[in-house]
Amino acid sequence: MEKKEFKENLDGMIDHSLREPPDFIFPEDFTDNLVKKLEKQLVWQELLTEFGLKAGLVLLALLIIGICLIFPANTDPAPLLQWVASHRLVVCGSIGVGLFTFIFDQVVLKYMLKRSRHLS
Amino acid sequence: MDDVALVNALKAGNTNAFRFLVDKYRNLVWHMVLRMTNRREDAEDLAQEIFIRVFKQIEKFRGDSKLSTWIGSIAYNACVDHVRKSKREVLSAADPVGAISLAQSDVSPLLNNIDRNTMKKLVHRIIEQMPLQYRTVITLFHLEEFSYREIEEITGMPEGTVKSYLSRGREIIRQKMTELVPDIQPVLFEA
Repeated sequence: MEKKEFKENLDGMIDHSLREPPDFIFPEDFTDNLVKKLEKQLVWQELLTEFGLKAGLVLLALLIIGICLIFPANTDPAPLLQWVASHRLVVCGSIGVGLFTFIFDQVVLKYMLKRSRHLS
Repeated sequence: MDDVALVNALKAGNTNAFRFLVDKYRNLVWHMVLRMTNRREDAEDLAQEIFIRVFKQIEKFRGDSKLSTWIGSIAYNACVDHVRKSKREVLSAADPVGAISLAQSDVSPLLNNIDRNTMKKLVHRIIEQMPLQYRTVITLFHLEEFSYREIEEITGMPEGTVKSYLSRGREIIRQKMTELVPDIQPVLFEA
């Protein structure tokens, strides 16, 4: 009888304890921080997608122009490729500067603008 | 806002709906993260990651199960990944009793003033040291009040296994408590 009562009491205590949440308190600013984090991620995602699309369009246009200039006139692309190879530093530098400006203008500046608008 | 409206708003990319979702389900995610990982210092980051995963994967939610079950399964997978990556814990549940190594010295400070709160702390300490599977099903069943079927959906464990972990888990707690607190008997009779 005593053993049974002890077991029931213990089970009751265990049940009660199992239904109690852990003591570690939920951070008060959790939701605010998380929503800010998500909004930041969504803005970056949107800007990078936009940038990717624009960059793709520019590259496609350049490719089409290149093909139109070289092939219909039966131009031999070898001298052009040779020139590019011998001036690769200038070519790569120009592409790099162009790309950096494009990214800075289309992604970083836009992000900073949106952020300052959001903060104000 | 009911779950259907909430899901539709989330699918439309509404961040206010996301705020509502976080407020509604934060206890579920928070308890799972705390219990499954046992790492309070990582808990906030992991909980944030889980909610962001929920937002990004909401298109995949078809409404076949309850939203809470679906969020629970995302939280479960994220926690298991986290535990695997941290490599701090052996995932096997082969010897759950042996895995618990609470020394009498860990418990002694608690014994000075035994009451329900002290018992709760003791039970929680035992749970913390149980293998991952036990901690998970105990949390989902007792704390979050999911059914066996829902726990099966969340964890992928068969219903029989869930029941077995629950009853074995309770047995382990009972066993450890009587081992660690020999003078528990008179206290319990006073309660």
